[in-house]
Amino acid sequence: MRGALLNVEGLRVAYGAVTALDGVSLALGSGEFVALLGPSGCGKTSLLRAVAGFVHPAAGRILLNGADIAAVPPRGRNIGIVYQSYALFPHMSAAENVRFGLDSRGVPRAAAHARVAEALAMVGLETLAARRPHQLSGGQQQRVALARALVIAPDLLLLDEPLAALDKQLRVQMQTELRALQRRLGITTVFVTHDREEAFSMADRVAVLRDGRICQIDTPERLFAGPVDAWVAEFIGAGNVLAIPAEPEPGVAIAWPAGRGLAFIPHDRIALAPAETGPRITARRFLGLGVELHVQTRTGILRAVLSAAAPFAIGDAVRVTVATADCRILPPG
Amino acid sequence: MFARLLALAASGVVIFLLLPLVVITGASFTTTEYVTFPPQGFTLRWYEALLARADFLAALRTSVILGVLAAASAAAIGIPAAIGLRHAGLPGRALLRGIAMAPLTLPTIVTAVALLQFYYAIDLDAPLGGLLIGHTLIVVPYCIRTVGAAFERLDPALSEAAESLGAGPWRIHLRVTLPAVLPSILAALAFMFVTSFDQVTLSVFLAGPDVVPLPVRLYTYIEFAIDPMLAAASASLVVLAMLVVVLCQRLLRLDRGLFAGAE
Amino acid sequence: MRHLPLAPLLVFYGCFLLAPGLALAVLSLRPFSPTLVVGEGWTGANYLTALADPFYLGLLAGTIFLGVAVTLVTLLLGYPLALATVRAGPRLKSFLLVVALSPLLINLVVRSYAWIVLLGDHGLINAWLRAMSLPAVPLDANMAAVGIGLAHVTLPLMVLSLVAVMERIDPRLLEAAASLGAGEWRILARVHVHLAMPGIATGSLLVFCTAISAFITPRLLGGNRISTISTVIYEKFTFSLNWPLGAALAMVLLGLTLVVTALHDRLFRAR
Repeated sequence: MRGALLNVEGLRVAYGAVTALDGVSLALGSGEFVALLGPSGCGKTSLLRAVAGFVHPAAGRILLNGADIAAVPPRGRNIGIVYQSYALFPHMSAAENVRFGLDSRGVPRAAAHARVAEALAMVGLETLAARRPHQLSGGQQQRVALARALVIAPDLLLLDEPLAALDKQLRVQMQTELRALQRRLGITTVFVTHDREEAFSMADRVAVLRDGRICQIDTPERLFAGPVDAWVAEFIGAGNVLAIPAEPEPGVAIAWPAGRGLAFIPHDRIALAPAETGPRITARRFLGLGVELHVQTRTGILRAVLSAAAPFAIGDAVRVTVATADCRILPPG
Repeated sequence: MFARLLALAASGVVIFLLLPLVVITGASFTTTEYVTFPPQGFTLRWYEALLARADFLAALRTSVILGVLAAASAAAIGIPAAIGLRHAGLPGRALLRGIAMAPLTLPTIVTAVALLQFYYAIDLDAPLGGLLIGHTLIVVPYCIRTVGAAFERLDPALSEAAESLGAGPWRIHLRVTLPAVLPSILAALAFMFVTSFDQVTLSVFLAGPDVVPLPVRLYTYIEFAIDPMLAAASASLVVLAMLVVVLCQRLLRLDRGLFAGAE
Repeated sequence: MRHLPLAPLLVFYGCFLLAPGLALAVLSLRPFSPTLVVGEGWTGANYLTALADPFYLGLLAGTIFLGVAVTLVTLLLGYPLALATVRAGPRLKSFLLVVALSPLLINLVVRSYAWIVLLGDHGLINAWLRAMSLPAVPLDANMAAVGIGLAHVTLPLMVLSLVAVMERIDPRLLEAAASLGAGEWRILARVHVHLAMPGIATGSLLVFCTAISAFITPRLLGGNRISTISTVIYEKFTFSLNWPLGAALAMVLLGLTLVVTALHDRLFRAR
């Protein structure tokens, strides 16, 4: 990407014989929020640490504002990081934690004081400035860590599963706040997570990683509608991935595509109708706005999401219909 | 039945453990000329007698000086060693750890005679220096263990976060990692002081005629007389040790508290 | 370069641990000279004396016997206390732990002094027994007195080792045993002791090694009547001035400690 703020080109990272990243390329525009999503061990944290400068790549380049930063040590990169553990300095108050980066940069006392107050106000902690980390709740510690990373006015913000330690309710609230703050500051952000809902609800673009490679990177909407392969489709939960049956099954009117590979059918593209015989409903999960029904076909369980009013119960026989346009072929991945 | 027997047995053991402590403390207040328990009447005269003994006070001074110097020297040697042993990639790390703990596995009396004949062989005639070396040797493993454990508990992201915020290696150590383990360092210092202050075996072998630590003074006094003044001295030592233990616990709890919050 | 922070420690150990240790080993191989303390030349006679002379062989056996006896006593006393500690509620538990550690608060000399006061022929225990018209027990400067004193000194080591392991025993295992119909005694003997074995082993090692090399307690509670390797080493270095033999005895004591430790590691670390 020309004019990108961060450009990662063909990055390879190895720890001894283990390859953590195998030729990863990624470009972030200014102000963009990209989530790195993948199972543990996929290399997302290695990518983050390589950009931060704590891991030395075996091959490839990292450009920040167009300049190669291979020779720049972490302290010179001007990158803000928020860790999953927050890594707050336990012996310093919230304000001292936030001021640390300004002191290291030799910012004059008065200016530093003003900027610390501003940063703490930004995360809504101005009244708790004198507290030590262990006197703060998890969510408050998370805000201090965020203020500490942002006060140095970094070119890039790296977030390593920053919300993973919070309980579900607080996490959802922090997701909204964090994204609003990032938009307001317009700071380019890389966000590592293994939680797909979090990635899809927050990011401009989501990069799906597997075994040290980026499988696919796109907006949440396009990823959902068009996963590149069966693995991505299953991992992000975009829809049903089924083997194409050799012979037709009574009561199943799916327009199977021609070709080798697996068939991909989005959950909301399946029509069910009551029938005398045919595949049966084996499970029913109420989702609030809709209902998820599991239909046992010969090729596997088909999961369909219908409106909550759908008149089906467990054990009912149904007729399954999927239109040609809604059933695509995918490589196994 | 089982629970009752267990409670009975445990109570017996508790009495066994506390008996000397209680008897000594109680006996130090007796008005009799000999040690007895329960004490007859109540008096503080044995504590007054203790404070009037110049030799005991000089021995106390020696012990305090020795304890402070030994703890400080051991910290000066042990803290860098604990930092060095942190690095996972250090060649021969397991072996070096074993070596660092070696003085703990050696019987104290063997260390004592080894130093005694060594000082004689190299003609070292400085009892305080000799005692200081021996005490430092015995307490330095505690420093490495306590401070090393604090470093192990330290979140590695802490120094990375400091680095990403623009701090250099010295600044990271002086402003982040060392202050973060400071409570453990203070606890180690207090513990080393007490261990040195309590050390008898080594001191009996290495003390000189003019340099007598308090436990050695007590040791020689017992061989000559047993009277309630010694009980008073003992009770004072117990109270002193308790104060230091409470201090240690506070510091260590503070340390853990800091990290419980950060995790 | 990465070893640099270890340099002060290694230099210090080299000068004051390794060098004195080697000097002690050399000393143990020198002949005794009544006039010079240490004679010229080399000899194995000191080790022959330490390991073959009936007096020293008896001394070695007596010291090992004392170590075993103290280990068994502390195990017998420590197990119920440790078990009660891990089963107690939080307040009682911290009280019991403080009690278990309380002997460490008292200086060794003070502790020995307390036991002299309690155990002597005119000591408090016999005074109390007399007051209840019971026969006196001989506890003045004998092996039993030394054993009691050492048990008191080493009990914290045993209790701590046991508690550390017992805390990790999954209570559901004991519940499972109970649900299978086993009584409490049977669970203790068949399940709990087995699970606590690493703690028993570590505690026994610590207690045994401390007991056989203890010096102050046997010296003060044994009077001049009870000898252990340590008290004899002291005599060789201070009164009879036979340093080479004292050095050989110290090396034997060190060897015994190392052998027991290695045996323990072999049997229990591997698991």
